[in-house]
Amino acid sequence: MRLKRFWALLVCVSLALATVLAGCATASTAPTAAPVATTAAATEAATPAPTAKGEPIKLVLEKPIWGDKPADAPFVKQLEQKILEKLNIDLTVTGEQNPSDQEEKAKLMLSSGEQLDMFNMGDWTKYMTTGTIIPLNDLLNKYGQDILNKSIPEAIKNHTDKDGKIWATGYEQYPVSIVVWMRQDWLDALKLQVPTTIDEYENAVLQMKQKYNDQGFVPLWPNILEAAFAGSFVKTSDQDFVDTDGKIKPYFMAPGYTDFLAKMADWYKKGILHKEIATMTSQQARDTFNAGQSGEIMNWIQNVSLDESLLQAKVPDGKLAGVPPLKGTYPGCYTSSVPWGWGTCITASCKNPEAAMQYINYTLATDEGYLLTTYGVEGTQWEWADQSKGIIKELLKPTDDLYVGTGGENHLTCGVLKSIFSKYSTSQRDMDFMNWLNDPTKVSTSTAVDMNVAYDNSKMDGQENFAALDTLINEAKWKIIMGDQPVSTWDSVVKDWLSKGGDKWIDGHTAQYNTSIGK
Amino acid sequence: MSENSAAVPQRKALKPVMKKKETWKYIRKYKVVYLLMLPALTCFLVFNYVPMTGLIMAFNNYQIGRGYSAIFRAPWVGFKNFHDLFSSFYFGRVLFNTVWINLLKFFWGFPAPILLAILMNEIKSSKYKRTIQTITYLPNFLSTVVVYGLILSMLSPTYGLVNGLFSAMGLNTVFFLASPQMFRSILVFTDIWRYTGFSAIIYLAAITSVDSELFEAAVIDGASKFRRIIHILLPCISEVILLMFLLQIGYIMSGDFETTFLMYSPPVYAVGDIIETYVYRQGLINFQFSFSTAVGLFKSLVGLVLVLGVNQIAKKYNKTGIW
Repeated sequence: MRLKRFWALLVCVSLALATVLAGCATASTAPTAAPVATTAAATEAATPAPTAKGEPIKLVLEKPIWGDKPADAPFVKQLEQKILEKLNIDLTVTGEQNPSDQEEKAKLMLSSGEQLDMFNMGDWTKYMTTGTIIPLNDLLNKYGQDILNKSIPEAIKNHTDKDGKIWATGYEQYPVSIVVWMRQDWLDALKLQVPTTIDEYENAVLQMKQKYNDQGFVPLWPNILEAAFAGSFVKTSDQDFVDTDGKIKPYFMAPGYTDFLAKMADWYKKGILHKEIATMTSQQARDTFNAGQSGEIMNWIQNVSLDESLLQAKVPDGKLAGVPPLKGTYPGCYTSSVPWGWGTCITASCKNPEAAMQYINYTLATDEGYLLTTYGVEGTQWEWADQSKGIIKELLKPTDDLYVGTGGENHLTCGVLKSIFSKYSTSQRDMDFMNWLNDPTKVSTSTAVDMNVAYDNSKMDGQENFAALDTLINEAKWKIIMGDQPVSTWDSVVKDWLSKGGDKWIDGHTAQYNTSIGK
Repeated sequence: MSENSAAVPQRKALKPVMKKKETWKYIRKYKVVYLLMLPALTCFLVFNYVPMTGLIMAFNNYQIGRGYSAIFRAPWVGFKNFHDLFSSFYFGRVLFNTVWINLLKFFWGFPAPILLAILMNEIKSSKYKRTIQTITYLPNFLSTVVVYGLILSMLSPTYGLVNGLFSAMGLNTVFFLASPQMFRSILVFTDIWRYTGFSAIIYLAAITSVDSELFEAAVIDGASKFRRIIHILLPCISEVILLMFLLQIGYIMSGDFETTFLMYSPPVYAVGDIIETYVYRQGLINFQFSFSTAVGLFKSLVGLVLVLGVNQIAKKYNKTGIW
């Protein structure tokens, strides 16, 4: 009887202990309250940089959005091992596969205290004002000399606040990163040139619809519609602008925006825009396009080679053509805010910012690091087709476990520098296209007047309503485009926006903008 | 009913008898049993109660990226987040949508499993009954993403089955998921389809515990099948129905985030945006974690008040409640 009791007691205590340990497991691996290394002194006091000897330094990186394989894909593990051998950094790549919001995972990890050392984001100002990331000046001086030497000065400037603090390293590759692509083979068959005006584009898509049952334009995410076509109707495209009264106003208040909406509503009705454009995820858009169901897509330039090869798996003759900004009321332009705003940050909770900067410098600003993290291991994933021209030949097929992809499909990169990125490609055609994109005489871009202003919403009156105000505009915009609401109501929508707190948005942004330009 | 009435005074009578010392004596005597309960209690404590400390965020201005302990070190702002919440022009809309969608789900979804259980109870062939039961509770185990995929393959205007039928019949296609008139109905239908089968298991179990002699007696008295259901079956399982009713009332302010988030889009924000999706946008997209916590706390408090209130009413009029 006693023995039975003893065993019962032992089992109970073991179970209780196991439960407690399981419950605390996450806490034990997560870092404790992280020191906020926001000053040079704090940075210097941190752990020394990694060396070839000693314990590997653990770093966690959230993968960039266009890495559309899982974070634990075999080739990612293989490259993590290579990084360990090369830099003595025990790297873990994390992140969702094809997330709808790339920064969501980072925000969750940061708020829950999980280890996250580096992440890629679209707007460093949001993180800077919340104290989530650290300035990189000292780290760049000590461990990021390659980045400083090889970066375009404007790119560094775009990640620098008014006090001269650099908060991110840049995705500077080209002024334009997302452009409209069309089916070149369909255009050829219809004996049409790549359109250069809104009317030519409309005519081309209507003909494609007739001949190929083209389901219409698909964007990687619905609100990129402005980035694709607004520049043809609005001088400042999809950017905030300074109005005649000297105030900063949002893009949808700019003259010509109603014309843009009217045209989009007309296109939706005619099927020039995909029927499901308002609800599509980026993967659905790419799947639709790659299945040959749609002839037009707004896509990252990095995705294009891959998507063309995926399209050719179903349509062997399928080819893509980049569409220049379309001429409408205005000459048209693509937005340049996306590449300039994007960057890689080091978190305030990072225990080894020096090692993180070493990693960023290696992958971003050295040819060896760039080739490794972008194309994989030489001899395994790729070999030179023409080294003098920087043309790479892939050795694996997309179905292979260790297939990395064609340039864009990377998971370990921390941005790209034009001086490195432009040297390599998997085809001469892609390289020529990149050069075309980079030619301002052929592809014009728009830049927001307030791009370098680090707005701090938390200091603005009525900021708690800003997200809801965005919702209000989005909702009305899509109702108009989809024909549920007439375009003539747009003025009253804007009035409603102003009365519900939009005026505070304008005043708050104008005040901070004026301060930043020293007005 | 009589058993319950007797149980109440008995419990009251026990209270003064079990004094503090005796309680400890009692626990010591059955320590093995109490120890067996320990892992479950620890789980509750670690996963259900310790995270509640985070509610303090509703009263301060928490910023992300500084670890869990920063929750307690953030500057105190009192009821500012609640003030912002109630003065927000948008909160009324999400509150209305949440409650209205839940009421619709409640109205159509609550009787559905009871009806299904009664119908299944009438099936004589056990093989057929088991098959129906498996088919109906299977959707409960599908992930929300799979459910969304199924709904999309049915309702998509370009490749959906329903619109395919419309096209074949020469009718115009309908973008159901972007239609403000249809969106709530889709949410309600999805909810009923997913959960009715599984919820019916509880009612089926209750039905099997009803004394069969009551039905036999009713048959002898000439009661029809309908009368037997109305006058014997439903009163006999009324306590289970009440229990389920009380549990569901607590969720009247809780929307189904996953399904709504996957299905909604700007054209249906006016009818589909709920507290959960609002909290997601405010918290995760706009970094307003404290504001989001205030919304969550408000929602939980309303849920608690509703459960307590309905339980009291149930005890007053039905002489039974959850506790």
